[in-house]
Amino acid sequence: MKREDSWNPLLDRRDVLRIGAVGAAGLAGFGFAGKAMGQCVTNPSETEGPFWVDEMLNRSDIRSDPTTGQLQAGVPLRLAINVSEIQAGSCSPVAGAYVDIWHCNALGAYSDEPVGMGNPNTLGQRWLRGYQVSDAHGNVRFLTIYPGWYMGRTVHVHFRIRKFSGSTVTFNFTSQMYFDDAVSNAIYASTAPYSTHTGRNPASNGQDNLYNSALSLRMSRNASHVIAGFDAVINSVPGLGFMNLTPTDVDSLEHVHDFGGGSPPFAFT
Amino acid sequence: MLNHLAIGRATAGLLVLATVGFYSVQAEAAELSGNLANATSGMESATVSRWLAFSFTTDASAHQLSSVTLLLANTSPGTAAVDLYADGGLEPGSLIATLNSPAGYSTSPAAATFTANGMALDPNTTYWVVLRILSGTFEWAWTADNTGSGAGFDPTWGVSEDAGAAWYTYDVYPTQFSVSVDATPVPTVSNWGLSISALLVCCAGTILLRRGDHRLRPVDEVSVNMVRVQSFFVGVGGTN
Repeated sequence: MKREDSWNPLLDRRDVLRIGAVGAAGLAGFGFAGKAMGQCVTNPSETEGPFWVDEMLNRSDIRSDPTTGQLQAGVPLRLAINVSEIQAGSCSPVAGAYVDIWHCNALGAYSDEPVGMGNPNTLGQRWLRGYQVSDAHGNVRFLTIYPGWYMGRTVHVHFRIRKFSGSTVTFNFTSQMYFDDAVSNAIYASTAPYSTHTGRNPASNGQDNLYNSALSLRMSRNASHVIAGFDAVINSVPGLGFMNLTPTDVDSLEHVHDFGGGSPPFAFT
Repeated sequence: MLNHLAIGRATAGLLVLATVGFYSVQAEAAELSGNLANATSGMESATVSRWLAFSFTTDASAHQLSSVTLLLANTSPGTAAVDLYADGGLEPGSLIATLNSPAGYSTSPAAATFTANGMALDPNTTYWVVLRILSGTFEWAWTADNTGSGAGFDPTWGVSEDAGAAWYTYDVYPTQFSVSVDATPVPTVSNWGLSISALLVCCAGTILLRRGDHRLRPVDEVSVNMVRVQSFFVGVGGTN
């Protein structure tokens, strides 16, 4: 498992190159920057980070540890994600895409990780991880908690979109979703257990090396929960992706070395 | 015997009638938001526990909600209700009213209209329309075309798997619907005709009264004729 994510604020060469490429693409008019919700523009890819574990947990409510059933404390977050495919400039919903999300808990810890880099030993626990398969409408839904924060990063949720042919991954894309600073700050200041985790650096999206406004969630903090939505737009057709490369995530070959490791999914029909 | 007070009242009544006729209006339905003309791409199931919703926004004018039409198929016989909700922040908030359901539904996708009896809508406000299934199963058409017509069109829609307790909302590939409101009042040709007629009657009556011809008719007769004129206008106006 690689450990070069911005948990350590120093980025490795590949991340620097990726960020540079994304920035260059935006400047070149590829539409990566400033994507408004609902627009048919591909999402920028971002690193999967050091905490990806291929748990293969098919579930919509990811708040609990599947072994103990214990729930992670926090403000409920209802997250709706739509997956679209862009072809010839127009978008259509993608059915059968495997959408994984994973994020830290209210105190900034990831599950199923060894002790280190500020993370407590959570090996064997699998909360705040799971995947859903998109329906004919391209939709998946997750019930989770509002993420906490950890040193060196702004508030975010990782996501991965894969397509399978049998047990073979035919498309693999990773990126991250970002939250409204005002909502995060309000929750962290007033709501336990977030409020017991003091300090935050960087304090805002603007201070995060990976933050991209094109990956912002639309969201609303309501009385008892936060509701959020995200439009994932991918280009999985070989030869039609960014720079005419097959837009498969370059991290995909590394996944065999990750902790955890679930069984490949059944082929979807 | 002459009763100048009664004659004055009759004349005033004619003037009122003329004025009412002059400004008489006909409320026409206009589409505030809709996408029924788009090609259907698929169907979303709605059941007793699985509710669906969409949002629309009013423009700067106050409106009266006339009806909501959904492209529905009733695949397992049953009944449905449509509720109007205030915005709860990317999801339905508090219930405002329930619309009147149609008498029946088609088993294949067809327009199903729920009427609202002129429910008042505030300007510049977001509302949610929720399809609540009372029995059976319905399928609601959706489109991959995110465009729509009307000043208040919004492609945002949502689904609740627990009868409205928790919503998840999307802003692409909306369900198919039309929201009709009473249009800004506009005088119609028929009402203009009535208005002119009423003015002519009023003027003629006034001239006759000034000439003293009123002596030929008792006050009661004038009053009865005024009532007939009123009945005529009410009867004609009711058909507009």
